[in-house]
Amino acid sequence: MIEAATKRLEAPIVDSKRPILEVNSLNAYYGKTHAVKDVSLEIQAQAITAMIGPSGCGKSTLLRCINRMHEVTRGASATGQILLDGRDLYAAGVNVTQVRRRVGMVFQKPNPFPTMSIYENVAAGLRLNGLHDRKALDQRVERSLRMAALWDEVKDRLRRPGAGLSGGQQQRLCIARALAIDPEVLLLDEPCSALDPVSTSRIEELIIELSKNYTIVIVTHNLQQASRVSDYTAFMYLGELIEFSKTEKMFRNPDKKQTEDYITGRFG
Amino acid sequence: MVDDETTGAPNLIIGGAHTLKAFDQSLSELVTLIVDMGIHVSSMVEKSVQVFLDRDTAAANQLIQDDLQVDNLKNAIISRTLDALVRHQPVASDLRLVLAIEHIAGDLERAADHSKNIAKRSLSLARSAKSDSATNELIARLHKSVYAMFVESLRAFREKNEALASDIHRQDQTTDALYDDLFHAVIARIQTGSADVTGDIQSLFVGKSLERIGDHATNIAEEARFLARGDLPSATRQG
Repeated sequence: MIEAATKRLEAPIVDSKRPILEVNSLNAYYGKTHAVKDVSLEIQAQAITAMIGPSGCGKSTLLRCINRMHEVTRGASATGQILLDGRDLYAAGVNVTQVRRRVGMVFQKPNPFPTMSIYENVAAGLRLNGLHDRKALDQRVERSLRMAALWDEVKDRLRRPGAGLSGGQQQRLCIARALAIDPEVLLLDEPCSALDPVSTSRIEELIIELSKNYTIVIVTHNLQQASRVSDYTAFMYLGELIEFSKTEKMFRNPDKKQTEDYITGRFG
Repeated sequence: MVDDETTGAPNLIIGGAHTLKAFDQSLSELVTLIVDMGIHVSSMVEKSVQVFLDRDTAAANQLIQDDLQVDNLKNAIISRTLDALVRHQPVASDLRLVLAIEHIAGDLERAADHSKNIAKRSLSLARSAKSDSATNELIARLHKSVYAMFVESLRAFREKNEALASDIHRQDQTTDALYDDLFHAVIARIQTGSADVTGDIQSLFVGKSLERIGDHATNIAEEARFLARGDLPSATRQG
């Protein structure tokens, strides 16, 4: 008994570190406002990375830089490098649509296309990417809804409006929509902040399940959520990356006082 | 006795005030309770051996009563620990403090039990003659070492003093050696036809209780280290 238990304890912890995203000296601005200041970090593949920090710390801006959504805002700009599998997303000639296909995003407030059915919400992105074969579309829609843990709840009402679903279901529909085009990275910007605890648990379970196949980056104000689901946590403050480490280290014994003050509720 | 620095106990809470004052209050209550419990148990450990050596029945009964108070304090700490965990979900230094207090409460409760057991042995020997003076001398030396360890372990905790915690770890080896001396001396007396085998055996049990109190002091020192550094001790401790 004790030998077996000891053997298990001594087994090496498999840590298949492989950075899929490398952020190097990233600076992001809204006009003259310097929102992200010289941030560098590596995001590990098929892992969940949480971004925490007070409102306005730059975490959502950093997230939006990763799929080049930041520049959509008028007056916004960014410098530095973000490498996806070694290729700079900000290099000249990069196809931005292609970037957003590889790096999907889900927002704070569920935002299904209001006039579209559940089915069309998921199929829309596929059609835009040139898939029109009915059978293939059906398969991809079902697969995406299954991956988003929504299929069983909606399979009998696929033609009904997506906006008719509950908040939690709508958010999973948005995740299904993002997954449909088969991204490598999924960015989630406070995906549970508008949801009740049961829907939140469903999304958290889904995130953990999805991390087996996808790289997940989640911005959250809920520190317990970050500690529950993520493998790595980044703490940002006033645009700077203060600390980035494995989640258990961050919540057991962070290196920086600012991190300690924030996560223990001593801020400001 | 524990030194007079107990008023510095709230310094155990690392960092400034929480935004949520109820959280500060919850932690302060826990710290006050564990410091009180530490003072109370230190006093029991201090008195126990003299009670045994003097066969002081009244003082022994008082220690037995004192142990009930320790049990109540421990229950209060466990209850407030659960409350702090459920209500505030502490993390980082706050979590380490709450866990350390909960663990130390267990060590203090066991140390109090051993002190009570030492006192009880004096009751069973109350009508017999006092033990062999050489044996008593060994018990007194062991007690001095254990009591110093115990008080210092609580100071290491209050001060989050890693260096002191390491000293206590080393001191435990001295304590173990003193217990070995007592053990061999008593066995030798029995083998050479001691006239008071009952008293000798009781002395041996008292020694064992003291040695165990030393182990609990070492555990408390390890909690001090955990609180300060956040890492657990390696499993290399002997005895």
